[in-house]
Amino acid sequence: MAASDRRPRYGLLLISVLACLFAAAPIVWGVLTALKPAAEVVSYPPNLMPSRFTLESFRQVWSDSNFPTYFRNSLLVTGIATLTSLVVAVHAAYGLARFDFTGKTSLMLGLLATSMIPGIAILVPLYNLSIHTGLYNTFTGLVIVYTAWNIPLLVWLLKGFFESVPVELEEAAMIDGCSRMRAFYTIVLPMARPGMLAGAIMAMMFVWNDFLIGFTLAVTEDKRLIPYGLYSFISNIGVDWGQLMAATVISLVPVVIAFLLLQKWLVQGLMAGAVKG
Amino acid sequence: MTALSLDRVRKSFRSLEVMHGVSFDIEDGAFVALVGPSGCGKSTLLRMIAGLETVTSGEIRIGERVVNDLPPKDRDISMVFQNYALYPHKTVAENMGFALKMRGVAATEIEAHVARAADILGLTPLLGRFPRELSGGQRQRVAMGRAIVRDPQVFLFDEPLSNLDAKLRVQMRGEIKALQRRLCTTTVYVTHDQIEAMTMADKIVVMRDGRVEQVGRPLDLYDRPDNLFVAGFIGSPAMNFVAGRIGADDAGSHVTTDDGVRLPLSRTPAPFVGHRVVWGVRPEHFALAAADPVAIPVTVTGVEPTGSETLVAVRVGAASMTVLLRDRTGLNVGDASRITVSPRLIHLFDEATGDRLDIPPLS
Repeated sequence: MAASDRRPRYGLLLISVLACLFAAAPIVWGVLTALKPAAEVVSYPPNLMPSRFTLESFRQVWSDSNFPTYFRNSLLVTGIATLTSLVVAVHAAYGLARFDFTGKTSLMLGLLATSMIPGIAILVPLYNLSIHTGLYNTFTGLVIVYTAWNIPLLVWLLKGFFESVPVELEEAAMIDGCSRMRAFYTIVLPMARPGMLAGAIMAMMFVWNDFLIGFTLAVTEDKRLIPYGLYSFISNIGVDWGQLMAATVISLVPVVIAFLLLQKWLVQGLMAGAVKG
Repeated sequence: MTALSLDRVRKSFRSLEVMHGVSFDIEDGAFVALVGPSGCGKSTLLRMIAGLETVTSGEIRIGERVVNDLPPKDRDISMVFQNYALYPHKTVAENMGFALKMRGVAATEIEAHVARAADILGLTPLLGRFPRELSGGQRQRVAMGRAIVRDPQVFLFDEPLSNLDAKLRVQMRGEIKALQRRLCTTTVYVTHDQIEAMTMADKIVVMRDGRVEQVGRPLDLYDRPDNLFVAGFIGSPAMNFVAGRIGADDAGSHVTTDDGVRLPLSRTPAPFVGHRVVWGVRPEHFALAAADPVAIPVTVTGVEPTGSETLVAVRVGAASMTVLLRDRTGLNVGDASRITVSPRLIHLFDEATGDRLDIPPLS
């Protein structure tokens, strides 16, 4: 009986390993390429393993290009945009989860509809709007657009979380001496932490990875973001694969760290939100 | 002194009125149960007292203060919820001390208050645990601990025992009552279980459809229900009802059912003769009287012995009734027998209004 219980698990394990290999292969290839000496990167036939490991490409990326500026800009814009989206979405989602008011359904559907519009469709209006408002080529402009972009999805995600917190807990807190807002901050928010972290990671990933908006609205070197930085290693005279891969690996570091720190919450967060329905 | 007073309290959700002018007073230190079937408005009323629902019109006073527009935190009440509503991310001690913390009480003082409440409720070994690590009964106790730690003017309980199994419910019933006696804090206790209300309360408020049907001491409601609803709601098994007409002849007064069965009645003044009534008798007030020729003839349709007593279902004409006998009987389904009842234990209600008919008996 034990054996028959285990057999399907080996199958699952095999599928998981294959899936991991499939997902990890480009990253492994990228890391190994970044660690190769420059001559080996373009050698033919290609070798997966470098003949010797070197950090030369990383050094060049960090000292001979503007990549550190892009990296700092991306950290700043992603950090602030994630935080502002979360602050706005948390309050909006709580309001939508707890109160009934005229037009609530339309508002929720409207939010959903806006997140269905592809980014490229509103790129030109965004460009014009940012010029007219003086927000073109500013971090403020980028933060506002990214925040607005993130809010609908976060509101939908967090609303489910707040609905799953029993209303009696807030009522008990209000009887215990809290105002409604204090009950929200003291009791509800700590309970919705998995959802908030899951939402924060989703928002962060979107901003960190976005090329289109950043490329259009930030145009001077001191305002460019990482995706543009990676793109800049592809030029008319060729692609510097070693440096491109090194920059890619550097750009992965914050995301990987965030995932490692928050993966437990993320899985729990996405599951709980899904189950609530 | 009156601790809590409701004066013509109304509540509407948009155009729908759900509370139709509820008024009653609760004396200081009393244990009052709000009972009624699901949807009668008892929980809404409790939430209005707590400040969790607004009052459309009327007045709620706690002590001398009108609290209609005060937020829950300023009403000096504490509430135990049906699902306990313990903060899952806080320990038992933190749950119990939260209200004091919100009031800015010093940490050492909070600790002392929590320790005292924990000692009363036997929670001392559990103070460091989280709610998820507790059994249902322990959670219930923590919820009570959270309520008593603040020493409020009024305790509010919203069906606090309905999530517990039957045995624990009986045990907690006793504990809550003992705790209330010890603390002498005015308590409003909502339940749909009339046994809970009867055994725990000093006073019961019976509600139906957002109205108070009767307010009184438990045994007064049992002995003299104001109307058919209260008569049927209080007491288990429920009171038997048969509709009929008051009649009088040489043999005395009686109620004749629509299918001609004569039911006993005290001698009744002439003006009541011919009146349509509902004749009511509690199951435990019947006695078997197989040899009495003037007793009510019945056919046994069911026998349920429980050991200490026997529930006998009988048919009287077309009506069904329940008879509760303390003694064991040799009755079987299909047997014909007779039952009797003392006329002073008979309740009469006006058939049209459902109100109690107090007919002065002729001597």
